[in-house]
Amino acid sequence: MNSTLALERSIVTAADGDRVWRAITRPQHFSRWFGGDIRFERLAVGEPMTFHVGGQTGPATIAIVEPPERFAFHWAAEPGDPARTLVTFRLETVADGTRVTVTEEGFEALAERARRRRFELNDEGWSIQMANLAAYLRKGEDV
Amino acid sequence: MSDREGQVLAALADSTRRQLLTTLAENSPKTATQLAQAFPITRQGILKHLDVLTAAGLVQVRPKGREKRYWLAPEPLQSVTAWINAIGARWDERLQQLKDLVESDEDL
Repeated sequence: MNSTLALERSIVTAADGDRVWRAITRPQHFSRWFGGDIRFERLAVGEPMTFHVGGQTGPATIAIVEPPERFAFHWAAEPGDPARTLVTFRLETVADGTRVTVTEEGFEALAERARRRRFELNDEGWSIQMANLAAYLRKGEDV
Repeated sequence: MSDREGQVLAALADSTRRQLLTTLAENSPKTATQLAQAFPITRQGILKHLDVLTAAGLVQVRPKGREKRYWLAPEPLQSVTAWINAIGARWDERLQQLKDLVESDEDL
């Protein structure tokens, strides 16, 4: 199953890239802005991480460390589900400072288990156009 | 995530099925024969994918003469999109908090 369902968000900050890099790769800083308790011993690929957020604990594993541009980890997108999504932070120097882009991908990995689980999603009932979906299917093109 | 979303996600996890949906979004209805002309796979293959999409509720099928016609049914995409949007909204909040932290005069 190829990676297909991804979301991407970005923000521009006046801070320089090194400062942003430290904020996302040092557990004590990461915990602050993320809103939880994030722990890992070493900033290295394969290193296990623990996320304590909102009374729940989830495991993660560092996947990419390329200072000062890319940091990524696999984590449990849904508490208690062994399926993982990949979260990647990309830092780019721009005129106004640093653009931070986060992508989370691999949501389809959650599909199989979710079928067996039951809890209601609060369906707002708003309508969408097919075009809106395209943003989530960025990787959908056949190569 | 509900069962239905899981099924929709699983249906969307295949690039041929996503292309089928896009094709049907542009122009519905179509028959499997018409779809097979636009795709590099057999009509049998197209029918298998259409079955998965139909089971997920993303495609509706109606018989017409000798062949079935397939329509896009976008409604199930709503809850999946809502779910992904909710995750995106959390990232928006976190990025804003990251920005607040790195733009503060705290030692980092």
